[in-house]
Amino acid sequence: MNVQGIIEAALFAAGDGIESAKLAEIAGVTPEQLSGIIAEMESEYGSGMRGVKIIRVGTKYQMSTRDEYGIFVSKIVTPKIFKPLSAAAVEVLAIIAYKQPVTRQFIEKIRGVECKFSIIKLLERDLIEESGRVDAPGRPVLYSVTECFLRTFGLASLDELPPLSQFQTEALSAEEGEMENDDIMVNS
Amino acid sequence: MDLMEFKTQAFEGPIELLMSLVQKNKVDIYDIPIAVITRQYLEYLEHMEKMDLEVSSDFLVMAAQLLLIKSKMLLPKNDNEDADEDPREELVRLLQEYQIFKQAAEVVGVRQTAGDNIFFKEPSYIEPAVHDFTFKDLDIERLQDALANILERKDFLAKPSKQEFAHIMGRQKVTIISKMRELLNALECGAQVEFEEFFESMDSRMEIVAGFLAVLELLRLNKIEINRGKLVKREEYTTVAG
Repeated sequence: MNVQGIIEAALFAAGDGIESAKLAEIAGVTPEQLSGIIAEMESEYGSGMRGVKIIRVGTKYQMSTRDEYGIFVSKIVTPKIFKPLSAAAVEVLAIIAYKQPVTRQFIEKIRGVECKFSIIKLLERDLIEESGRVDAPGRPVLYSVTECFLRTFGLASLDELPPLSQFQTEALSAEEGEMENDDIMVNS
Repeated sequence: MDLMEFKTQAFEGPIELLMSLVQKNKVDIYDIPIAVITRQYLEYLEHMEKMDLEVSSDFLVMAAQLLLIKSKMLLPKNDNEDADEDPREELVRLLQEYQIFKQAAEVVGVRQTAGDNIFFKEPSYIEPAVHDFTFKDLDIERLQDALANILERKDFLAKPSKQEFAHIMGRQKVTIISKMRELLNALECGAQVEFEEFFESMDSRMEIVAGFLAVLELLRLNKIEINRGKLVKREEYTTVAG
């Protein structure tokens, strides 16, 4: 039995993402081996310009069609077309993606403006979800991004977003930069 | 500064307005000329009111904060307080954070079509397999057993015979008339019948009661008589003679 075949068949049949631990168990390999095997398969698929590819979505693997063939696939499958998100909704989404899980109050504090409407929109689009509640008076809802967010934004995980510190250094003045350097020197 | 053009712009919130003012004045957010910015901020709120735009409370809270910072900066420095503390610190932090997420939003925003060209398949529905049945150890004997089982079951499913129902159907209907006829017939053939003999063949309470009532009825009608424990048909001549 070919391990790559097992993985391919399982991913094809599942359609949805399969937890990497589960997939490793099915294929009879360790999770470390699995990521290696999938990387190998992916490079084969890529070099052969195959119609499908394997993507990572958070802790799951999922099979999808290859971007280059999208225009052909859309001739038989009608893709869901969404209006672009409003600037406000994108800002709210960015705050959640970087700081999740967060409450609405947290987002509103950063943006200085109410964002109930944007949150409803994002929930409707399945880009964010309620991921819990804060154990505090009023038990405010916590929001996190969804798997659908990762797929829609072409991300394997949130780690693929540029770190916030990158924006921080751009926003910081030279004065603050010096302070940071001082800190590093003290630490070393 | 092109104030008119600036004033036609709508701001989502007070921080956005403040940020625009900072950028318009080309000042460093770490050294905001608070008097100038506060004045322009209040002018903008006034303008909004003139334009009949609703000035939400968020804008007013920020206005109050700006005025507080401005007044704090006018006061002489108190030696007891931390010399490093700048009343604008909180404002700087707010603007800084806002700027960071503005940039983050740009990076995130451009990705929103990233997944548009890939498609996913719905999960396949696969009939759950029957695990406890295999053809592996199937032989002729098992097939025969299976057939016998089916036949037995078919027998069971067949309509039960009437006898099988006799015990269940307790209320078998027995009429007194039928018992009267039965007794008269018996007397016709054998001339006399022992009283107990008549009830011997009866096995249900209902039948016995009906038989007993039949005897009484025939006695009443003078069709029979009882002679030393025997049921005897009454002679025709008596009635004729009467």
